[in-house]
Formats: sequence, C-alpha cells, structure tokens
Amino acid sequence: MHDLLPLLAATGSEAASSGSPLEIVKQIFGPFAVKPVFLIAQIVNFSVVAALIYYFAIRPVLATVDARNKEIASGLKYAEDMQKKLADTEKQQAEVLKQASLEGKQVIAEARDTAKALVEKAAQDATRTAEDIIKKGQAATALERQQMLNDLRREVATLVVATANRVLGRELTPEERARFNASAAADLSKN
Amino acid sequence: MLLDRQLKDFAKKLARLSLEAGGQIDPARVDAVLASLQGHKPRARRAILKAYLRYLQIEDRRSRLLVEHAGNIGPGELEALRARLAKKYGRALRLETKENSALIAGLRASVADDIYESSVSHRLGSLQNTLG
Repeated sequence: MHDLLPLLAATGSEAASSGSPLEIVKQIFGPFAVKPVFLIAQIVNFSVVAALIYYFAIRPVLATVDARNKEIASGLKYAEDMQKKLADTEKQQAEVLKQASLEGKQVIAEARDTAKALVEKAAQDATRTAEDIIKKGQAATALERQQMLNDLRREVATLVVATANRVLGRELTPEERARFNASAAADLSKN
Repeated sequence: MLLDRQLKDFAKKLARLSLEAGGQIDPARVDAVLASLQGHKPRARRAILKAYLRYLQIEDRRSRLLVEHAGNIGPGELEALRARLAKKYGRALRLETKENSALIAGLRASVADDIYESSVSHRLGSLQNTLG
C-alpha cells in the first residue's frame, strides 16, 4: 500500500498536465489494468446476475415475506376479532347470568307461593275432613241413639201389649166381652 | 195344553151351573151335573171332576162367612153382619161361627180372602205397631 502512494502521486501529476478528463481516467485506471471493454462486460454480467438473482431469489423471498406479513396481519386481526367476540360473549354471558338469576328468583318466589297455597289447601282439606269425620260420627251416634230408642220403644210396646193381653184376657167379664162383641158387630156392619 | 184349558173352562161352566140364584151351591144341581158327566170318557171325566171340585171349593169359600169371636154374641148382631156383607158381595153367605179366645174380645169376620176385624187383640196389635 505504501508502495502505491508514490505511483498515484506521479500519475496524478501527469494527468493534470495533459488536461482531458478521459485521459485523466485512463491515466488513473491505467496502472490498475482497467480496460473499458472489460469494465462494460463486467457491468453487463453484473446486471444479468443481479437481474437473475432478483427474479429467482429476491422476488420470491419478497413475495413470501409479503404473504407472511399478510398472514401475520390477518392473524392479528383475527385475534382482535376474537378478543372482541370474547368480550361480547362475556358481556352476553353476564347478561344471561343476570337474566337467569332474575328468573331463578322469580321461580323461587312462585314456588314459595305455590308451596304456601298447597299448605293452606292441605290445611283446609284436613280441617274439612276432620269436620266431615266429626259430622259422620255425630250422625252415627244420633242414628245409634235413635235405633236404641226405637228398640226400647218397641220392647216397651211389646211388653205393654203383652201385659194388656194377659190382663184383659183375665180380667174381662163375660158381660163386658158380650158388650164389646155387640159393638164390634155394629162397627163391622157399618163398614 | 189346549185340552186342559178346555177342560178347565168346561169345569168352570159346570160349577156356575151348580149355583142357585143367591150364589149358594145347590146339591140338586150338583147331582144333575154329576149325572151328565156319566157319558164322558173315564180319563176326561176324572180331569173334569177334579177341576169341578176345585171350582166348587172356591165357590164354597166365597159363599162362607166365618165369624170368630171371644165371648158371647147375639144372633141378631150376627145376622145383621151377615146381611150387610151379603149385600156388599151381592150373594148369599152361609154363616159359620167359631170361638177364638185369642181375640180377647170382639169379632173377626172373613169371606174368602177378605178379613174384617174389630177385636181387642187387633187394637192392641195396632197399638204395638204404632208404638214400635
């Protein structure tokens, strides 16, 4: 490197002395063996290689990157939508729970009222049944008492008639019987 | 069956022919009826006679007034009762009396299935039914 510095300084001083830019370029790159034909060929080769690399390597990679970016964006958007839906779902769930809680309270209140009504009805039925039983018992007692009175009356009547039969059969005199017979004959004759 | 029916009707007519105007059975008419049956076949005559006897017994029951009594009763009262019932039934009634101490006092008169009673036992029975 230190060897080239005197060469470059000499070349610079020569080009400045000739004056043409092209000559100056030739004087500068002459020591480096850079020829324009080779340089253009190198530029063309580089352009072709760069174009091939662009079309067959960079461009697919860029397309893949774009696709990945779109997928990532789509995923992010999907995640945001999911978060919104989750929030909505949680909100709806909260509303449903609230509604369910209200309905549950209402059902419990109705069940309590129904149970109260059933208890009252059962109590009324039990009272009515007890009253019916008491009435039937009273009726049965009255019927039994009436039956006993009838039996007693029948027995007393039988006893009275039997006694009257014996007394009258023994105590009536022939004259009384004859008088009764005349009266009976008159009754039968009238009828 | 039809023959039995005819025999019964015939026996019934014979029983009616055996009654006198008052409804009493006339023995002379009965004799005449029996004599008229001599010409019938023995088997038919037997069936006719059985039915004839049954109808005569019925007529006899309808013509009989049975008076049961406890104690004495005058003939005037009995005759009045017989006349009253004969007028009611429209036929002469044959009076029969029978002592029945179960009546205690009073009468029980019966014609066929009809019974008329005015007695102490009957009144006591009515009283018992009323009280019982």
